[in-house]
Amino acid sequence: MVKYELQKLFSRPLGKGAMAALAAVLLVTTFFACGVRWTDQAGQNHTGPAAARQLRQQQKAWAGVLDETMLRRAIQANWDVSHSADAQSQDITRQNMAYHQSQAFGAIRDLLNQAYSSDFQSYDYYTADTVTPDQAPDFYTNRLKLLQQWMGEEETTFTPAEEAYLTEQYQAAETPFLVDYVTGWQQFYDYSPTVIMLSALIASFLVAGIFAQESQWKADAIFFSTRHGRGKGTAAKVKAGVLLLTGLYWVPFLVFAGLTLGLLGTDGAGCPVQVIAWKSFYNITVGQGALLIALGGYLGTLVLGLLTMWMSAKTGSAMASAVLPFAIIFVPALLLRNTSALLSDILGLLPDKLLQLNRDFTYFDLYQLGDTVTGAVPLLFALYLLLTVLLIPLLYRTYRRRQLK
Amino acid sequence: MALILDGLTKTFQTTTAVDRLSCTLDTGVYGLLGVNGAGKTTLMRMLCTLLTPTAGQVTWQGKDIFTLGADYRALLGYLPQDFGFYPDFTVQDYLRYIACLKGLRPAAAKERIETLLVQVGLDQVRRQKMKKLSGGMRRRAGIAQAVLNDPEILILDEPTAGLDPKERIRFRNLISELAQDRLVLLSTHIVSDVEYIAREILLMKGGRLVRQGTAQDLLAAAPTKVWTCTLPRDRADAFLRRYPVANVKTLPQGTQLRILAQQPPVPEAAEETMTLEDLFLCYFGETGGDDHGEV
Repeated sequence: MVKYELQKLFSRPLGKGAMAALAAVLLVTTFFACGVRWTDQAGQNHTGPAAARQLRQQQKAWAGVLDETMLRRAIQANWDVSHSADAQSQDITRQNMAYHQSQAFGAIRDLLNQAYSSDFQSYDYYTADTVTPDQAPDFYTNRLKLLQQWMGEEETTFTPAEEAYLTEQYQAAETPFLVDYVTGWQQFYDYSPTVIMLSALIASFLVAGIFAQESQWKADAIFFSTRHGRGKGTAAKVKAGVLLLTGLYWVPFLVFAGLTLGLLGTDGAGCPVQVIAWKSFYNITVGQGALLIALGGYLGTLVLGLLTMWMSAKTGSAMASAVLPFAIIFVPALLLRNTSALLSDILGLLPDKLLQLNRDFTYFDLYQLGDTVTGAVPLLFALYLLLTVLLIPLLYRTYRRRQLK
Repeated sequence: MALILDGLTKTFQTTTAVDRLSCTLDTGVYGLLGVNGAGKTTLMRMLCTLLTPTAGQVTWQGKDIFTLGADYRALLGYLPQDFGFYPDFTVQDYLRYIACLKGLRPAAAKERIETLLVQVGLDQVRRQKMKKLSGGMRRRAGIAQAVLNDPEILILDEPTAGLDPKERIRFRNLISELAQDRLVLLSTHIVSDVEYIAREILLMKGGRLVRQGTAQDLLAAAPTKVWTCTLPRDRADAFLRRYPVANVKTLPQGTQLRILAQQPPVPEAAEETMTLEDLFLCYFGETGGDDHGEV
């Protein structure tokens, strides 16, 4: 029966169109994700997987534990490059030649920009050029110092418990950090939400028809009058929906991840997530972060899809159901988070957050449950795992009890 | 092996679609006659467990059909008035899917589908998509799905509506063929459909059962007689207003009217044998089946 449910969805021209759209999204996103730039010694720019290989080779020289010695070396190297004649030149090619040298320690340079920033929330690309090797010992302490400085500002509204939690999390980060070539993961972090979000929307759009099309085609009268219509038939619809959401999420996601990481490299999976998201208070590795992004995306897709299916089962309208996931994803973006703390808290826990966990790693969405303070990420997983478990039987019960007028 | 309807009522907000309807149906073809809006479809939907009654109950072998649930539906075949199907399924895939829903084992389903495709004359178009079939072919696919599980109760809601005369006759014969040893409830507002094949006729009006019996019983108990008379055209209009008129025919010598009346409308009127069509007019008025006007 599940096979026929899937056949119903994919035999429609709309179903075929959705598949084509998904393939196009996947192709375009992977193309951009793999478009890594590398500048050669002559100052010429190259892009693509071959450029990524060159970049990897160059950055591997700076892989290791980012302790004071390495920091001093990186700061000195950056100082030398940024104060060289090539870097000071007005000629773009000569500037690129200087950039060729600094791209080797580009990831560390980026961390320097943030660690030695004048304030927690600002970013200046040239900050690193003002840092001297003597400042190396301040690298890790600055991270905490800037956070505390920011928490002390008037516009931040953290409770004392939240401030204590953030301080603890920052202090608990294992230092010195391990650094490596992480471009593959960086691109994965940056582009995977696009694939996840569009897969979730397309999958939800498709599953919107699972229940609604029965009434649209007026086929529900026969469906419900059969022996298994209100039992196995309904269960098959739910299974087909979950299967479709799973397939339409994991296939494009794994193709994207496989191509991106395969072409750009998987080095740096064991580095702390802070090498990609410096301010993150989540003490996880880059690889763990990627796994969370993948699982969060799947959970978010399931939640959106199941909500869409429930709407479809309840109203019998494919149109109203198909609009729901778009509303859940895009309406929060239109609401101003700063208008009220409650609204901000609610928006921080909407299912769209699961589709872009890379951003959540850098957000300071905190929730206090009794004496315990936690970030949004574990709460999102707990909340939506529970909702998913509840939605499946609810969906089944809603449709099997449907009355026809 | 009887389906017993006891005080069956269905109310939608302020409208009572089926009103305290009671009857017993056993093996044979029952024709459910009534105008549009008489409550036929609501009644059938309750018999198919698609709608729960507001009051009353339906029992099969002494058990409530809603309690029996899937066990009752296993005995049921249903062809709804608006026969919905999956447009991009082939006829074969459609029947296979319905066979799954009806709980037929794959081997049995395959065999049954082969037989039915030949029986309903769709063997040659089995690989065509449902959306490409003609209206008559779709209806035949509809009847095939209804009898896939060899049901003991077959409910057909307006199965011939919209079909051309040839298809209607073909369809009627098919129903007759399939009606052996089962309870068939055939709803229609087309009198000729039931005239030929129904063992018993149920006349439904305003959600209630107004008469039940064989065609002969109903005709014998008709509360009126049928007369024909030919009148000058200028007098015909007055008779059309005064009496229910089953037929108007223009002849060179005037207008021939077929009038329902207890007494001869004019002394020279000749009494005719009453038909079911006349009876339908008698109970439901001239607007009976107004939307379609098919008899």
